Amino acid sequence: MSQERFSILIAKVLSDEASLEEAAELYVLVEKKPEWKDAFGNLQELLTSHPVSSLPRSATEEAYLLHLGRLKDQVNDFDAIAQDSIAHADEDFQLYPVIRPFYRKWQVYAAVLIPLLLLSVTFYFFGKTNTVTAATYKRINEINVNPGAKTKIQLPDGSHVWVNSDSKLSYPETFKGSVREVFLEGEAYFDVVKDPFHPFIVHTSGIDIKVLGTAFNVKAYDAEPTIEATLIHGMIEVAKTNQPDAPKVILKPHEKLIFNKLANKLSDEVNTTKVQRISNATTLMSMITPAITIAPLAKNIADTAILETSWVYNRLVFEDEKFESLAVKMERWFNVKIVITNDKLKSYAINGSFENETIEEALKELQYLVPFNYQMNGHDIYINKK
Amino acid sequence: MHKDQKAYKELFVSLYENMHRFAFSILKSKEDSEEVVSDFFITVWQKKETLTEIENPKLFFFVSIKNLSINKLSARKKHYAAFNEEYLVHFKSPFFNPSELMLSQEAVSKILEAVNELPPKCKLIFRLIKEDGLKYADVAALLNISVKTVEAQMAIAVKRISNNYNFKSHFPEIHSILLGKK
Repeated sequence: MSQERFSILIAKVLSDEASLEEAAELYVLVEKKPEWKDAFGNLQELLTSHPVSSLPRSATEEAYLLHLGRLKDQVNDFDAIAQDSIAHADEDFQLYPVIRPFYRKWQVYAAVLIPLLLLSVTFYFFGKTNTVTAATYKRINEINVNPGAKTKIQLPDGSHVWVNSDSKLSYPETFKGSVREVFLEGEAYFDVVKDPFHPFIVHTSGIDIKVLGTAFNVKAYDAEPTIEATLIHGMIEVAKTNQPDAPKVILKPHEKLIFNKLANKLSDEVNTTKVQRISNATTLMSMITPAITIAPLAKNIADTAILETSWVYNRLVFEDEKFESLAVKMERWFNVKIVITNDKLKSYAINGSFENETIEEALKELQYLVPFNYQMNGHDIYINKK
Repeated sequence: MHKDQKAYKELFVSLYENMHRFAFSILKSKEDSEEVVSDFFITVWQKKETLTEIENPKLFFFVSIKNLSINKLSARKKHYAAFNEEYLVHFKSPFFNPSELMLSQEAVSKILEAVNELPPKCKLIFRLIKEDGLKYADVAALLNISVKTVEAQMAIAVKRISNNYNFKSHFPEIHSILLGKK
């Protein structure tokens, strides 16, 4: 491998132009040659640092006023603009930081606007009782999404995260050190920016998911018996939180890993962890569940059609789902409480999807499939047998 | 209406420096570049309804500035040869934030020196990608060259910067963090 190739790969990775294969190639290359790792590390610091503007904001403001003078001569639907702009010049300027080039500013606008949708953002300091790496973080951002809501955020490294209802995501204000770590309770879809030298790790209560740059979904609600990681593209590595040194599981695209909290607890007691691949996802239910199972997703379907990530596209999709567990999903989706009073109703298996329905519309649609009556009392819904 | 004006101003402010810099690399005149950027934004206002239909806005902005600049150039020197793809690029301010990296003034000027010693075309490509945030394919389309050429020129820039400059002595802190010695 020549230094030429190395330079091409480095330039591509630092310009965010590299494919996953190229990023992996560089990663492997650098692992072999420690001196290149230094060079890469230094270049990365230098080239991914935010550029500074050489133009003071007053100069840009002046240029704009000059421009308005010329614009006035050429168009006639403009008068109001000039007045308005001069009047609001100062307050406008506080809206955007001028030190960044425009392509970053667009990201800044997005970053400013999107959090307005968030229900709450709190800052706190991590205590010493957390993991060693977490203790080194200074500032942690915490995103809490209420039931019935969803949000999309951008992390400090540019990665995008869609956070589903009733979920909490914590991440440092800036990623420092050799890894990018976030903590998740609930469900989120990650589209991670490639950076082979700073692996991205999602910590959940049962498993840790480590990636270099990829898109994947993680579901880790406290109230559910399993934790699921679904890979859309790229490659991810999964380790159990309490056994970080145990052999890791590598997940391939369109595979889903299901971690059974209870089975894990049992298997921990006898200190054996079974990992097994099975060919059909539906046989999962009937077999005795091991702590970790890997199931394939349906092949050759568009990312938008994948059940596990449908919520990202604002759809609640369910296939062969027991009414009981669908009710739990609906509780999060619509921010309601659902009580099914009849055991037979609970075990009905249902297929379908909700997109823009209100809770009442959804219930009416379900009544075509399942014979029930319901009573709604504010956020509480009681489902009774017909 | 109010929303339009606000968005228009935001667009102007966010694009101005990058557009002006690119126009200047062709026109080599501050005033002419100002005029070209202003002309471009007049067109933007006039065509604001159709603007959203543009598939790759960033590339469109740069291509428009290039065309307007070349027109201006040929109007200015009627008797001279047409634009021969010669760009003047000089990095006065760093393409990175020195305070973010905790660099000394000396280190900053050394890095700038390394960048400014790059061949002109290489420097232009480096700037378009690192400072203006264009993609390899955008730069190739803008400068009428192949993506492979952009790739090779970027590799040269990166290699020169790392070779021309002894990073270890100026990044001791970052260096040790990267080596995991901290």
